[in-house]
Amino acid sequence: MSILHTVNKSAFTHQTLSECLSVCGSGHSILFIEDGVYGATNRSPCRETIEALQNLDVQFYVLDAAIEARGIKNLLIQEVHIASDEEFVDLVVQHTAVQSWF
Amino acid sequence: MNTPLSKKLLFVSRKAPYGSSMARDALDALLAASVYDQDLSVLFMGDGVFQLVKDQAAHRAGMKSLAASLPALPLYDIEKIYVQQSALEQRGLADAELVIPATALEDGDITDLMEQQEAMLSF
Repeated sequence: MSILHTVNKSAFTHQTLSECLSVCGSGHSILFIEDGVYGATNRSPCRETIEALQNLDVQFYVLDAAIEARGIKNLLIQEVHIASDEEFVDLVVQHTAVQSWF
Repeated sequence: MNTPLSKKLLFVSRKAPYGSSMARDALDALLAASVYDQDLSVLFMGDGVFQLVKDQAAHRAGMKSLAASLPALPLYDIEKIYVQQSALEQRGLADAELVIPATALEDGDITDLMEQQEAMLSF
């Protein structure tokens, strides 16, 4: 059973991402959308937790359009995948349920 | 108790009571869902735990009291009421009496609870 979490708030101004990470389990996926993508950048306040979860089989994704719009493609934490809108749909289908953090 | 049309639904309520309408919306949606004979649970986490504080005077915020409505949940057969233990502790509410009895869950237990659901509604 795996959950897809979506996060749409900047980790620099909100607790949204850290709340999500605190209950994210092994095998889950996290997709950053809208301002949420700032949480997947190198200086993210949650970077250490993200890297720890990557070692626990948690996959991280950012929505392509969101990072392109913000010009932050070269700031992403390593092994954060870039997902198109179509891949967003695939992720929803591949998981048993979606929890949206906003 | 699970008819084929019944789903396991978790309502996740993460906002404080009067700054926005989200907490009220969660409760309204939850009560509406109860009419359809679903397998419902509700989880208060993050700032959502502030909804459970006793002695709220909602009229001072020009709002209807949320805390007054929450004790009605069991009357709607909503018995699975959970609260995030770490959120209570962070907000100094670990020993506080709450407006409804809620099962306190560690973060790892919340992961398990979410994995058991067919769908989650986030407020």
